[in-house]
Amino acid sequence: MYSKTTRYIPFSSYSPYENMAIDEYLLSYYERTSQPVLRIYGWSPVGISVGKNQEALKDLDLNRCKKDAVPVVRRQTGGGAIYHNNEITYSIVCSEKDLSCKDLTVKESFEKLNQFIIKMYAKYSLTAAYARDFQPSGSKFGNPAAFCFASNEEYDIVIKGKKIGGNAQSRKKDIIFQHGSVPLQPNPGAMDYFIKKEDNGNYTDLAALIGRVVDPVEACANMIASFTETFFCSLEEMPLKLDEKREVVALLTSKYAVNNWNLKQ
Amino acid sequence: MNVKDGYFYSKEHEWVKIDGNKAKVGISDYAQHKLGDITYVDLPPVGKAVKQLEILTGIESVKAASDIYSPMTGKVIAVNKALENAPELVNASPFEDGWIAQLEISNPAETANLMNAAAYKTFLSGLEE
Repeated sequence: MYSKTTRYIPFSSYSPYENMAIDEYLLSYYERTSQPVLRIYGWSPVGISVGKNQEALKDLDLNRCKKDAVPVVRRQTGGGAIYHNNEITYSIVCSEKDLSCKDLTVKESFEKLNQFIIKMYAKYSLTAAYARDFQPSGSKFGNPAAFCFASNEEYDIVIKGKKIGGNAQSRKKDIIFQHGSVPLQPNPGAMDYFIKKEDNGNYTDLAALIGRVVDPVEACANMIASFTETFFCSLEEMPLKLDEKREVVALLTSKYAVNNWNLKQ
Repeated sequence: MNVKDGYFYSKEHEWVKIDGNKAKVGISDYAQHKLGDITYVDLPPVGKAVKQLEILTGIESVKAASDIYSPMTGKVIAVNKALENAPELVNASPFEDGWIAQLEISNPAETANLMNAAAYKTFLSGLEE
């Protein structure tokens, strides 16, 4: 990715099922082409994603999800559940070599990759840092939580002492797939309502920090700028082509739009 | 990093220890260190048939879900159920208590596609350069 032309999939909003099908397709695209990918997207309708190995039946109130027609989809990345509303989400596909992190641990790769998010917040005059920088040495990290924003990890991004957004990875040999979200506005009550436990409330969003609501298009432009500045790369805007959409639809109908995958035990 | 003699290793950092036509499989000390704190091991179903270097199952460390590849072709005949409640055994004891699955292997000659301990050490030193 450093100095490498990265494919950029322009911002658009899709259903939770479509979003995860597109992301899985992009992983296979990288396997074929070795071209890094950045995709930024929204969620319409709003939905909940759960981590690859999360127990959806245990951690979510599925009756409420059903009653309120909030789709639940399973990601290919780890971590906890996220209620996707009033946010922009990104996915990145690259290799350890692209990121010059072959000898780094997974946690250290988060540190390297998340630099562009920190730089993005700086464009709003916000000083973001990693959670480990705010905690005394010897602090205990790594308490996975059902709700992603309530977890507490070393390389979580923190502003003014509160976690903002979440990031999670999937690894396939030396390929890194990373998801992350930037919350633009709060979603009052939604976490407690749909996700069963562990909402410590110690998280924030862009509107709360800067006192205005940022349009997704503006956030997206700032994310793109910080990405290219961080990784010294150029972006090649390349929406999904028709044959690629066919592959996405195949993943959608065989996996992401069915509950075998989304609600697996 | 600890590399144990008597084991064979894949480039994806799985190990296999062969005893007759049975083989225990796990991930190496390098892999557990790289992944960090293991939070979940997706134990494969007993009876699952798998080919050498194809996906055997998955593992999750803090916020990262990774694939585990089978170092040998075979059929899963046992899994380490202790990992259901104590996935951290993979970190604490990757070569012993943290084994993941036991296979009935069909072709012992496949070890030719793997590395012994000395070769794996050389391989690791190349990664760190």
